[in-house]
Amino acid sequence: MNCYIILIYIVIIKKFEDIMIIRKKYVKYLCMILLIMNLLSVLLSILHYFIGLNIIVGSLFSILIVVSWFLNIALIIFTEYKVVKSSPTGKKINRLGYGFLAVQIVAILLLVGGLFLLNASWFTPLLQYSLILIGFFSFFVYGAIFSYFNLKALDLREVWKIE
Amino acid sequence: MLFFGGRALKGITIVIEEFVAQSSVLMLALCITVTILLLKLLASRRINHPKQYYVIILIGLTISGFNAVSLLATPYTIINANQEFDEAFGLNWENSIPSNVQNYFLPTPYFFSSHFLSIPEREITVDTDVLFYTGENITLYFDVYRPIMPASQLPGNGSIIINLHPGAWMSGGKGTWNMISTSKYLAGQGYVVFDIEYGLIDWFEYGAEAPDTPEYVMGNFTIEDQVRHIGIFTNRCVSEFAATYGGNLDSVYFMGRSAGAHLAGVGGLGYNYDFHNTTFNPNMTIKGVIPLYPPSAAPELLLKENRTENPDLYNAYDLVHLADPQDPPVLIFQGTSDGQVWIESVEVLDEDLEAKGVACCLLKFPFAGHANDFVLSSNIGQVWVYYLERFLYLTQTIS
Repeated sequence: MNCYIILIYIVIIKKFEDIMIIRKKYVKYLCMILLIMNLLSVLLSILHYFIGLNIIVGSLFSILIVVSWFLNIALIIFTEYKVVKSSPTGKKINRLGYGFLAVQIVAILLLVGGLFLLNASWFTPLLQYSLILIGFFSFFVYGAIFSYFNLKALDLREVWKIE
Repeated sequence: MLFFGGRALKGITIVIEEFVAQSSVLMLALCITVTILLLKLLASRRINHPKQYYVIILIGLTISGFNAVSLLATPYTIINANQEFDEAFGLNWENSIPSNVQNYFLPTPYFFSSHFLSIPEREITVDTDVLFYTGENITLYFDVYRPIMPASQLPGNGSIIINLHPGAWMSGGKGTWNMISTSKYLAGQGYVVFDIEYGLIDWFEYGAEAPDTPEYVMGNFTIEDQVRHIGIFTNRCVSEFAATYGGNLDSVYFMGRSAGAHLAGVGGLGYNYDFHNTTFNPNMTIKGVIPLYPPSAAPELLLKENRTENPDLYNAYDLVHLADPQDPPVLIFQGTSDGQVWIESVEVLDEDLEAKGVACCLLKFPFAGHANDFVLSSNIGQVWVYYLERFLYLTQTIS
C-alpha cells in the first residue's frame, strides 16, 4: 500500500501537467462527486453516533472517508497546477486551497487531542466530543465548500488552464 | 519509536512511545498534508531548485510511510488474535456467541471511520471517589462504572471487573491513567467496573512515573501491602459493594495495566494459592484475568525480603509460580515495541502459563508501545476491545 501511495503521489505531483490532459467535464464530475462524498461523510458521521453503523454501512463509510480524503487532496493539487492565479477567482481558489490544508492540519490536531482526552477525567464529555466533531466536520464541510466553489468557477474560462 | 519503542534510547522516549503508535494514523494524514502544503508554498522553486522540491517529497513520503506501518500491521494482529482464541476456546468460538449478544459487540475488529469518530458510548452511571479503606495513614477510594439498563439484559450480566491502575507500583491512580473510556465501554456492555486505588510505594523511584499521583495513597509500602489492599477491597465488595452496585459475585475478573497487571495476575491466579488464602475473599468466583503489558513477577526490591532470603515470598508474587490448571483463562495485551515490559518476557509468560494448564491468549500488537490502549478507537484499541468483549463473554459461561 505504501508503494502505491508513493507512486500515486509521484505521478500526480511530478508529471501532472504532462500526462493528464484533463477536460472540464471530468473536473466537473470530480467536483460533483467530491461534493456528494463530503456531505455524505458528514451525514454518516451523524448516523454513526445516533444509530450506530452495521458492518456493511460502516465498511462503506470507512472506504468513503479514505477515498474522499485522497480526492480532496487531489483537487488541491489539481487547482495548484491548473488555476490561473493572476485572475481574481483563481487567486481565491488558490487561497481556499491553502485554507483547506491549514484546516486539515488543525482538524487532525483537534482529533488527536479529542481522542486522547476521552480518557481525561478533568475534561467534560462535551469538550471531548466537541474537539472530535469540530475536527471531523471542519474537514468535510470545508471540502464540500472547496469542491462547490471549484464547480461554480469552472465556467469561467479565464480561471483555468484546461480546455 | 515504532520499531524499537523506548527500549533503545531510554529516558524520555519511554514516555513518548506511549503516544506514537496509537496516533500514527492521524500523524500519517498530518505528514501528507504538511508535505502538500510545503510543496504548494515552494511551487515557484520547482523550476529553479528542483532538488529542494523533490527532497521535501521524499522526506514527507518516508515519514508518512513509517506512520503507516502500524495500520498496515492490523490484519496481522487480527489473524494472530483469532489463532490465540481458536487455541483457547476451540475453532467454533465465534459461533458460540448468540447473535442477540453479538449485536452489542463491535461488528468488526476495525472500522476506519470509528478511528476518527470514536466508539459510541452507551448510557452508564459513574460513581466517583467511594471510600473503601482508611488506615496506615492512607485513604483508598474507587470509582465504579455500571450500566443504566438492567445488567441481566446485557452481555456482561453484572459481572464484576476489578480494574487496577498502572504506575510502576509507586505512582498513578484511578481514573485518567486507568483508561476511563475502556471502563465506560465495558459498563455499557453490562459489566460493573471497579477502578480501585491501592497504597503506593513512596520510597521507590522510577524514570517514567505517572503524573498526578495523589498524596493520600503514598506510604512506606511493599507489594505485599498493595495486594493486601486489593484483598481488603474484595472483602468489602463481597460484603457490601456488589449488592450496592448490582455486581455479580459469581463472575469476577481481575484486570490491570502494567504494575496493575502484575497485581491483577496475583489476584486472579493467586486467589487459590495457599500463601494468599486469607488475602482475597473466597466468596467470589474468578472467571478471568486480563493483564495488559504485565511484568511477570515483582521486582525483588519491592518485596519485604529478596528471593534468596525468602524464595516462598518471591514465588507468591511470581505469576507463573501462582498458576495452576484450576485458574481461569488469561487475556494479555502486549505491544511488540514496548520499552518498559518487553515482548520477549511476555511471550515467555504466555508459554509458561499454558505449560501450567492455564488457557492463555496473548494479543500481540506490532509497533505498539507501553499503554497503547489509551485511545480506544485507534487501530490498536479497536482490535483490543473486539477481542476483550468476546473473551469476557466466553469466559463467563465456563464453570
